[in-house]
Amino acid sequence: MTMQAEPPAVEKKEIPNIKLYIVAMITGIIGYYILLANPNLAFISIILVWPAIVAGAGGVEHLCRYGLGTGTSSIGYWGTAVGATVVFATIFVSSQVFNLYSPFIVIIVGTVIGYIVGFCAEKIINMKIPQQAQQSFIITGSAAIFILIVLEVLSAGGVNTTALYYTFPVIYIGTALVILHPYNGNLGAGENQTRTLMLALCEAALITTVFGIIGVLLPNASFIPALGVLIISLIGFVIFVRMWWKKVKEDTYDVVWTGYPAGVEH
Amino acid sequence: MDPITAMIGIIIGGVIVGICVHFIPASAVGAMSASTGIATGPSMLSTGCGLAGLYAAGFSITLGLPITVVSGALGSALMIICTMLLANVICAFGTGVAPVAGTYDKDPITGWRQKPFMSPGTDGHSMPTATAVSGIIGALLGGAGGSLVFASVYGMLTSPAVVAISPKVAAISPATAITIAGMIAAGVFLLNCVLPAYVLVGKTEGMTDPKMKKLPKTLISCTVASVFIGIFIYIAVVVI
Amino acid sequence: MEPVTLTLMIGVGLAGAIAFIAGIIEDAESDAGSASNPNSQVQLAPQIGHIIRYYDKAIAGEPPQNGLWAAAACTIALLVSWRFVDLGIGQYYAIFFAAVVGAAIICLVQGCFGVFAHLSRMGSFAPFKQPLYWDSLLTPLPYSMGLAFLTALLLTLLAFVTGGLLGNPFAPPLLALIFGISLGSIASGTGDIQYGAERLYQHHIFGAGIPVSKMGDIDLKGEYGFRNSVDTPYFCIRLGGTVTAFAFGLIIFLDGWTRLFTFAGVWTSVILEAIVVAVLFIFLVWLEKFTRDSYGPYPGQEDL
Repeated sequence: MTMQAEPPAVEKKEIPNIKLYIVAMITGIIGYYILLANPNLAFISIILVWPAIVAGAGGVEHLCRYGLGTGTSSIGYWGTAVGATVVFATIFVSSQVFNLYSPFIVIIVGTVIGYIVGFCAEKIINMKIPQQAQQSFIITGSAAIFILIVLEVLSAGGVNTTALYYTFPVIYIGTALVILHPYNGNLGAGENQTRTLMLALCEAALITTVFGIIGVLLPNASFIPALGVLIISLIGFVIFVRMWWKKVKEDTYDVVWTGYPAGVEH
Repeated sequence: MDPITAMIGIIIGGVIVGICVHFIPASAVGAMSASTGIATGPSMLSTGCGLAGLYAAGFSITLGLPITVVSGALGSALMIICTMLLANVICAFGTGVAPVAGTYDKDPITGWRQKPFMSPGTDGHSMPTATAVSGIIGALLGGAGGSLVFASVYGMLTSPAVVAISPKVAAISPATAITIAGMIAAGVFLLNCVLPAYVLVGKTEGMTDPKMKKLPKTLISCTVASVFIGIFIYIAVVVI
Repeated sequence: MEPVTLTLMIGVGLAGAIAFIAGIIEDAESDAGSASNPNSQVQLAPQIGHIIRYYDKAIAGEPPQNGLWAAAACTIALLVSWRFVDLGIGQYYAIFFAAVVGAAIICLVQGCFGVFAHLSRMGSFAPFKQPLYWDSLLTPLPYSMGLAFLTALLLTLLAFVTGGLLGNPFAPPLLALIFGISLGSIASGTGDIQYGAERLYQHHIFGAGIPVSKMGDIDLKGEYGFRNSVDTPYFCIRLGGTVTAFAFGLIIFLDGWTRLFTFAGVWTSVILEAIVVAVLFIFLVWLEKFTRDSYGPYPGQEDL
């Protein structure tokens, strides 16, 4: 098993989501321990946690492409709900705030619950979507590791935990939206995995910019971790948007300033 | 509140939220006045309605469990009846259609016939009486279930038994405990409202719809999910 | 229960008024870029050969996107207001300034999401020969961002009013999330019906729903020239926006109003809400009878 996902080849080859997930887990765990060691290196951890969003978006894409029928949004909320509830329960009510075992607990519990519920959906509700259990746990696990790293970056400046509780809702709904939006934004007959995953990278950088702004404003002694996150996210955002825009221009039928739509008399 | 009772409260609340999605009439195609029900997807409508109930329950959390649950249920019912009444207003004056349902021929409550008033080619539009009653019942259940989860988590976080065991929980002030409990309740809502949407495939007309026969499937899936979440919260609070 | 004070009464009235205006603006924002359920019609149109010039702003469903704008704006506003209070500005002024700052940052985020969605979807429509028209994206874009700014601002202020003046114990960001998701589902269930069934299908006759055979056959030409997304909000505010405002405003106002009374102790608000629900249900049945009598059966279907 290689540590890197294969780059998108010239012919239409799809990257299996499980490889994206394993890459995301490994980089997420490394990012967590870097953050424990030295909070000022938060900008490296944030780069290492963007693959988690890509993996989650890939899971949503696989499930919805086979016709989930209830709308592409719902599966994203459900996955993030499991991941977020697991993380919140671990961090804020267990006896140690950020102990050495958090990422493993969070990933394992999130994966297990996601797998079991996906399994229920496959066997009991019988939805006939291939690999449903596997994609479900990819979504929940990715959401869990992403939220864990973000919470730790926001608290690494030494903020007292009372102020951190106020950022729960935005972290939750922000993660849900960036996991499900890449596929929803690419909905159409000509959707392909490369463009969807590049859009997932752009949006991951966008949402970590917002989290960076929130982190800079939190009342704590040192805002260096959050400032690092903000700057790196803005740089990443610009780079990814250029890559994604190049792919969109290749894929679009025609790019014009304005015109009369074909087939309608004017 | 005893932690074990609180855990059972979380599980039961989650299952009730799952059941309520079957009762609230919702369909995405209703936005084009092409099918009966409120014009949103079932999962998001139930979440919105339950969260309105959670808001109403928040005012009385410090007054005890029964009033929190009833208050939450009525907050949700208020939201659903306002939404249904005004959706009927828009259909009547904006699109020019009368409320009819597609799943029954004569309304069980008022006895009015449905087929003559149905637009040709569609499956009904907006909400006649029986569907509205089903919506109110669903909202009462959803609000009650969500408020039960909220009150249970709050009870678990402030119970004297847990505070004695874990110094981390003792350090949480009641105001913060209310917010944490609210977030976990919102998470349980979103979890348990999406699973029935798998069963319903995006559209339901409430208690008169034949899809109610699939209720046991929802019961099993939501029970499994809620049991795991409930046990995990219990472990996180009490054991670790 | 707190005794009825002037603060509580001002709080209830103010919350109802802000909720009312937030309803109008949110419905207008979901029409300025085609969003939520009627967006499926705009998606279907290129598949049946109609080349569209609408702004295909598809950011998830309406409830979660409004939840994100509201929660993010409220969180940023709360943190900025703490900084302002540290600097010595009074608490109420700080909240106003801070809400504007939070909403401004969020409207930029909404613009990014909308642009990403439109460009990517135009890329996915390549098999149907749908070109990307820059002007159909850039003309509605500032309009949509401005309405999103107002939505986020009003929902933030509503969260602060219900948290501060009415005494709800939840933290303001959680209240903003609750209001965002609730307002999104209400607006999607009421206001979008006029957009989906009427405004998109003006060339079909008034008085019937849209059957499956006609879905996707949306308007391409408007009152002057080709229809684009700037033409929708002014039409829909007249009925759809106002009705959405009524729905959301009534809920917030009635819920707060029932808490002003204390004649039965803590169960007062429960009893009053049950009575209100029953009264509104009687209205609903009366409206059904009125509509059936006014419109009558469809011609040719009287005997079905």
